[in-house]
Amino acid sequence: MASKATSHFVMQRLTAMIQVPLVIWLAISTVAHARDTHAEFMDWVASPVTAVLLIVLILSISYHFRLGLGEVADDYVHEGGRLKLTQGLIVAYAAVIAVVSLFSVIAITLIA
Amino acid sequence: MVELTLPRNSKVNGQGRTFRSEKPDAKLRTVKVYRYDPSTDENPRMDTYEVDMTGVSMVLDVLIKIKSELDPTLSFRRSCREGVCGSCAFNINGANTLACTKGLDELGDGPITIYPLPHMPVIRDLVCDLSKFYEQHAAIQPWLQSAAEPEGEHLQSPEQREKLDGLYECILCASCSTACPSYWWNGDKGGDREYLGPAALLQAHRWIKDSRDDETEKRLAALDDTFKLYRCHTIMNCVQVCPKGLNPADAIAEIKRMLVDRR
Repeated sequence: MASKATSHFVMQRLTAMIQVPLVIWLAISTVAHARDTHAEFMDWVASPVTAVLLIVLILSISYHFRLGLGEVADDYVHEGGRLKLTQGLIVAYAAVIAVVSLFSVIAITLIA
Repeated sequence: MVELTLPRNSKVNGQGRTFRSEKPDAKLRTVKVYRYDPSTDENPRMDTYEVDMTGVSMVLDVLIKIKSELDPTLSFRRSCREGVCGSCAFNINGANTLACTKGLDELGDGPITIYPLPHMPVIRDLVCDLSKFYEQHAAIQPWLQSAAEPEGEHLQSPEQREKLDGLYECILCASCSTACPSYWWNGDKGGDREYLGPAALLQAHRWIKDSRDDETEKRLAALDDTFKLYRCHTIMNCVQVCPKGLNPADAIAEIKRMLVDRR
C-alpha cells in the first residue's frame, strides 16, 4: 500500500512526462499558426483534438505546479500552521489557474 | 522558516590570530582554521598558521603539526589516519572530506582553509556534535533482522553478497549528509518531519538489499515518508564529496524505485 508520499512522487513524474510531448506539440503548433488571423486561430483552438490536448495540458500543468510548489513549501516552511496555510494557498492558486484556463478553452470551443 | 543566515553569535569575526613556523629553511604554506571556544563569549574566528610543509603529505598531518608545534589549543577529532574510522571529516577548501586521505597535492598551491562540517552544532574548533546524525542512523535499525536462527552463519551466495558492494563500505563520517542542502534545511527538524540524510538512507538501503534480512517490507514502509526520504532532491553533493567514493544518491533512488514498485 503506497503512502501519500510515494503517490506524490509518482504523480510529479507522471505529470512531467505527460507535459513533455504536449509542450513540444504546443510550441510547434503555435509557431505554425503564427500567421493565422484571430478567427483562424480560434478555429484551431476549438477543433476537438486541439481542445482535448489543451485541456489535458492545463490539468497536468496545474497539478504539477501544485505538487512542485508544495515541495518547495515542505522544504523551507517549517512551522506546522504556516506550512498548512502555504499549502492551502498553493492549492487555491493552482485551482484558479486551472479553472480560468479550462473556462477559456471551453468558451472558445463553444463560441467558435 | 528556514534559516538562511548564521545566528549573530555564530558569525566568524575578523579577529583571528596568526602563528608562524620559525624553522630557518621552512617550506611554508598558509592554513586557515576555524576556531570556536564555547567557554568564552567570543564569536568564532579564523586563525592563520604558516606551517612548514617539509615531510607533510596529508591535511591531517598538517593539523597534527599545527597542534604539536604551533598551537596546542586546536581541537579536532582523528583516530585511524587511514580513511577507516571517519573521525577527521572536515570542510577542506570548500568540500567535505577526510583530512587523513586528502593529499596536499590535491589542494593546489594556495592557502588551505579548514572548517568543521557544515550546519552541525560546533562543540569546539573542528569538533561537531554528531548526536543527531547518529540518532538518524539508529532510526533505520542498522542490524540484521531475521526470524531464522541457523545453527551456523546466515548463508549468502556470492551474488547476494555482491549486492552489498558500494553500501557496506560507509564509515559514517557524515561528509555526505552535511554537504546536502536538503539535510541542512530539514535534517534537524525533529519529530516526524525530519530528513534522515544520505548517510542514513545509504545504510537503510544496505539492509534492504541484504538477502539475509527478512524485514524489507517493514524497512520500506518506515521510509515511505514525505520527510524521511522524499526530501532528497537529487542534488548529488553527497556523491561529489563521499571520501569512500560511494553513491548515496543512487541508493536513495533505488529505495524510491522499490517504493514505487511496491504500490
